[in-house]
Amino acid sequence: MPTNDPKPSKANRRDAARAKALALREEQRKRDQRRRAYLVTAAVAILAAIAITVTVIIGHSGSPSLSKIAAPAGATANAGIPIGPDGVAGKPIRDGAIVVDVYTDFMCPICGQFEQENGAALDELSKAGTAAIVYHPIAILDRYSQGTQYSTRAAQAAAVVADKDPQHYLAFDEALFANQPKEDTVGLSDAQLAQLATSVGVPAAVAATFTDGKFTDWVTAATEQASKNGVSGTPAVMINGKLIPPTLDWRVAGALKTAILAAGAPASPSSSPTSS
Amino acid sequence: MLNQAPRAGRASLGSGLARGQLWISTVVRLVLGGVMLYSGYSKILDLPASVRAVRAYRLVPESVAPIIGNGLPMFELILGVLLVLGLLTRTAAVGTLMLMVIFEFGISSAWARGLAIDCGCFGGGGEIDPSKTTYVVEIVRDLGFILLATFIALWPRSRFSLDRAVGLDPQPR
Repeated sequence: MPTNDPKPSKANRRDAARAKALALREEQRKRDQRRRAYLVTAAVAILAAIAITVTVIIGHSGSPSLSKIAAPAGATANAGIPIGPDGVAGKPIRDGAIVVDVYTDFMCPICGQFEQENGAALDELSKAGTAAIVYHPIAILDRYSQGTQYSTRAAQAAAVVADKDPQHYLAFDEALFANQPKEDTVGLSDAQLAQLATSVGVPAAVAATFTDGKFTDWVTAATEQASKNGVSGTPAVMINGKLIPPTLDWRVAGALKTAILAAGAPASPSSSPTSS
Repeated sequence: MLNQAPRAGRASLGSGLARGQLWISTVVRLVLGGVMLYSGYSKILDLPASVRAVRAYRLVPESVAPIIGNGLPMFELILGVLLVLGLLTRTAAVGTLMLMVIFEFGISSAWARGLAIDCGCFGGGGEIDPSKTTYVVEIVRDLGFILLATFIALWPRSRFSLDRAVGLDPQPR
């Protein structure tokens, strides 16, 4: 406690000394606290940086590179399964055809509705050779199957059929949507997927390999590729590499077919477009 | 400011208010921490979906989206842990506040640009049917979190905090 007394008495001087000592101790205490705060902040920041870096690295390594993994025979570099005019999967896209990319998730109810309302029209354009339909079975709804990863399992099974028994790809695709499980259920079991495949003509020997998961990485990479292409939900349709605008409602009968025909064939010799 | 501890001998009303603040801050801190833990946890279980959710906003270039999508869940978990423990409380609250402001911007920008996406706030994300967008709910909810984070940033002192235990909050009670 400072004093205004011009001539401090002995007692006053003692008080002043004590106050000074107190002030020094207080300052020391504050310095200690600052140092502690600095140390704790630094420690937390370093730990946080490590944890985040590790997660980012794990996330990156968890997304396989499309170019380095096994793809179904005839799949496009863009992770699509092209359908030939004969309805067989894996046929190269014919020059001069309008390229229609269809992105679906077998768990997605609206995709089922899309297949129902536009499947026939797409088949017709495909058979006529007017349009080349490229199916992209992707898995964005894995969290809706109570941990069984139904979207991935179903897309993987479709990829196996495209690879080993391409003439039954379309039939299997249709059967998957016709027997679509409800969201937030476990979905079809692996055995049921195999059974469904054999019921549309896929050889039992092929269906038995579903559980090998040969194309699981490919489905993951295809999903990532779709996201990079600008697909943020399913169903998504691209005509000649361009997402159809939100104003185009495929629920309206004939709307999608009209838009496809209006687009015409791409100017450049077509392979499936790589990005939008 | 209320976080100044009342000096000894102050009127009891002041210390009563301060005590009330300590308890309110404790509850707010735990709630906000819980929200951050939950949002981080729900995202980190499916990192690819988190990356896709970031892309769906169409705000950041492809080179950046995977870093945000993969890194954000862990960042949220860390903020949540700090808030629940009450360690570096003010710093964690300011971090949460800034994150929420960024989210608010992202959601309103998606809405303004006519995108139909789920915010992906608690996992998921991506395009949804335009009739199913819940932008108003998402924005109001986020605003609530902004208020909570602001409260903690202004009055970080609370009960059961590690800050006190490790001597980062030595003021008398």
